[in-house]
Amino acid sequence: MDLIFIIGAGNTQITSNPIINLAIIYLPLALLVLYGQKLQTWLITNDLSKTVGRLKEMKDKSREETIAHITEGIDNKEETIKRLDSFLEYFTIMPVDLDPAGVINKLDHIMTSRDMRMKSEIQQLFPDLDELKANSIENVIEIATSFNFVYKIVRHFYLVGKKTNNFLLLAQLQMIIPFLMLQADALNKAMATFKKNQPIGDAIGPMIVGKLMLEHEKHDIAVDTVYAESDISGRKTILVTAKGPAGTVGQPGNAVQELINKENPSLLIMIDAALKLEGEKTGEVAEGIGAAIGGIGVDKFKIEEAATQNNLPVYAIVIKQSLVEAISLMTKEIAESVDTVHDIINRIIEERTKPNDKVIIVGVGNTIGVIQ
Amino acid sequence: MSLPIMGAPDKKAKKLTVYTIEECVKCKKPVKREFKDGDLVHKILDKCKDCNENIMISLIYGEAPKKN
Ligand SMILES: [Zn+2]
Repeated sequence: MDLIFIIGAGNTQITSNPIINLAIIYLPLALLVLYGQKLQTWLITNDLSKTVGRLKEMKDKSREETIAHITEGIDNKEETIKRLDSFLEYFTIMPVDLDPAGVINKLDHIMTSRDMRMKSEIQQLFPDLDELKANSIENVIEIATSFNFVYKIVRHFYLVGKKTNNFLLLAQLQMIIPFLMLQADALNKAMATFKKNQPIGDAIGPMIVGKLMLEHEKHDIAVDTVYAESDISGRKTILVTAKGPAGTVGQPGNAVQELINKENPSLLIMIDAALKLEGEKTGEVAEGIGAAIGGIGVDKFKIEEAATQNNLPVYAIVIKQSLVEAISLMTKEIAESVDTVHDIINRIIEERTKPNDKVIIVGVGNTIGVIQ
Repeated sequence: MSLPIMGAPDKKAKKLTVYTIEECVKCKKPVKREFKDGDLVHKILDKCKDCNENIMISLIYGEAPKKN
């Protein structure tokens, strides 16, 4: 404080000795002006190298955990580990969207073949597994693959920035690192949950609709997707969700499209987990209009298309949660929204439809750990 | 814009204990216990002592352990 005061007073003298003045004030000033950015680059590089190291640790740990999970009770460990490492490098090439007409179909095709390939390779690798365990392995490998990808991207930008001594590149990476670490943390927690087949936050949609489906006959309608018919306040209700308790989101797009065309309902209600904004409460329930479904867009497109063609209103009920909460163990606040949403469903059906109308209710999300 | 929408990292995130809530489908009395491997939401366990109806797992969730 005293130093600034003296300088600020217009009298830029600390002592009467000019050499000491030079050493204390002007030399550091000149050094900072000339080498300030270099110093900052060095500080950022240091900081980033620690973070990249931590990310690598987390990634390696996720690989180890995956190996432990999938080689449980298997003799041919080495071959399995070799295959796992090739799984970790699997990539998906997105279709060209320069000419966007029909790109959804291509996307659908690519994503479906990707899922099918993964499933059949796991089946080949572990032919004796039951569906629940096979699905758990698929999910755990997928998480490890995402981890590998996040790590590689961060490392790439770090190394490019470091090699070219690019202050701006490193500064940008430093700015987004907290969000990437958030994602890494989410993946870490997801791994633990998926290994034990515990419900995740995203499973709230299938849980709410699954509870309504209990004791009704379930029919397959699309890959990993089931529907059941029920009755709510005298309306024929068709309940759709992914087929649990394995960890899958199913194909709600195909299922709803088919049911809309077959049943000609007068209302579609979609229930999904939604990303909350910072400051919003976890487990808060909100109502709205539109197709409440995330993912790459294929299912959303199909549902919107079918709803528009049939002039069908789409009501959405969402349960708010953070990204970490959505893919890791379901918290109490989220789980306890089940009854609230059931009340809302009853209210919407009574207010918006007439007796003998048909209503489709879709529980969107990953149905891990939830039986219908 | 798309990154911050994920939210901010939670520095004081607590470790959650996993609980399973069992409930008789008729008398609805919930029993809370710790999660065991093999527990699934809506899984039917055994019969209720009072009314001989099924006991079902109604919820599985994580909760921060209460401070004593
Ligand atoms: Zn009972």
